[in-house]
Amino acid sequence: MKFSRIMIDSERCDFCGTCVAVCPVDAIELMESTIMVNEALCTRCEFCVDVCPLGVPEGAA
Amino acid sequence: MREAYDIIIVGAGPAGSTAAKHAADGGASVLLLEKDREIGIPVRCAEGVSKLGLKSVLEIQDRWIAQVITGARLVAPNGTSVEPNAGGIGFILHRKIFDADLAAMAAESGADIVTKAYVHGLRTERGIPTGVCLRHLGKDMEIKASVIIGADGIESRVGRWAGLNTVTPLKHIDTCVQMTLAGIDVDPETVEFHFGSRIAPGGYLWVFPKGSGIANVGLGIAGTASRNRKAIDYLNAFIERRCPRAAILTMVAGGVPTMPTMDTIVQDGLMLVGDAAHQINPLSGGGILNAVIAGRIAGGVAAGAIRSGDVSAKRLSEYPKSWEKAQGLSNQRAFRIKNVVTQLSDDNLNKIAEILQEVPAEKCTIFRIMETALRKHPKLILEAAKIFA
Repeated sequence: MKFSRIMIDSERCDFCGTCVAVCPVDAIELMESTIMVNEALCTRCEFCVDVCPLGVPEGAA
Repeated sequence: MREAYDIIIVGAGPAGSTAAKHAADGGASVLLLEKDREIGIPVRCAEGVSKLGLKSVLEIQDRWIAQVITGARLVAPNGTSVEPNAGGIGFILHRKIFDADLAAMAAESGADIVTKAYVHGLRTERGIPTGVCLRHLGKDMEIKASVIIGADGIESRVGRWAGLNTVTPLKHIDTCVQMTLAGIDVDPETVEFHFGSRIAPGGYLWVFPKGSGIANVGLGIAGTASRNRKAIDYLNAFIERRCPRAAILTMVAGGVPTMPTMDTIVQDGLMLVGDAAHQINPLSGGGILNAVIAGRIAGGVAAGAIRSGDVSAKRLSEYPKSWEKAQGLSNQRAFRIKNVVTQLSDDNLNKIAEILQEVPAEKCTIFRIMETALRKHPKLILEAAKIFA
């Protein structure tokens, strides 16, 4: 799934920002209760998938 | 909110609010911006703090204290427990009230505070930050300032926008989740720490009582140990064993950088403080007091820079220099110790607990525990002595 998109389900997300901290390319935009992955910047490294305390981000085809 | 300030601070946690207070006390005009609708919420924190530490940085207010702590219990993977003679007491705070009070102190000193203010970029002139771009109540605006202080937490982006490397490597971040539980059986004045690869690999689990049968129960695991089993899975498993019938009052997730302070935390017209600068104690994961210490230094230095009309990196580097002396060096020692103790196997942890059981209660200090855990690393024992002895 190397070139899959990262999907973050806002209904399961706690908006804690741990994924933002590990994103090497600043591709994640976090507001009070909104989170978005900038597809143009994302390199699909999946550090956000690895680090999420709740297992929310997923690589999707 | 005006069009321009001397200093803009992004993030109203303990670091940001303290920096705002001290910058305003130093005569600067200050704007403190918070992205959330209410300061102090959500509480992404276990809320534990040492009494001596808190007393050394602030005048303690009773309303901050949820529970006075007089003891600690360290639990090895096989259940053997050690109760160190901690030589002092601590508190579990009401962070919600604590944070709101720190912001109120900043306001009293003259800082303007705006919540629901989402900063999404820096305004720059010839590469030097001259303000922030923010969205507030549906309106985009730019506010000018001579110094920007990023106190925007683990998710910090202020530094990145200025070209600083704030990315936290997976191996130096703990991924955490905490539930505040009601109806859990705890000793009301004792904090518990549980260790082991099946409890919290690369980190630990805490039970911090908050009074009235309520406790913060949470854990952090190493970012590198989180690929297949998440922090929430470990916590659910513990709660299922310990207190399956407890009610969950709140649940929060969060990340803790467990590394030394970033190499560069100032630039021309820009400073980072608190979690944004990785100023948390890498061994304990505690960051409240460090945030207040760093905020006080940064705010004072920023105000001095404004007064002198020189906000260059060179002038602002007074702040990292003072921070190194105050806490940075101690954090580096804690980091070296952390790298060893988080690698101890369950067998080793069990053995350490067994050895310590033979130590008379009054001699079983935190330093003695560290000495036992680090017995194969004599150099680190000397480092631990500088922190704990």
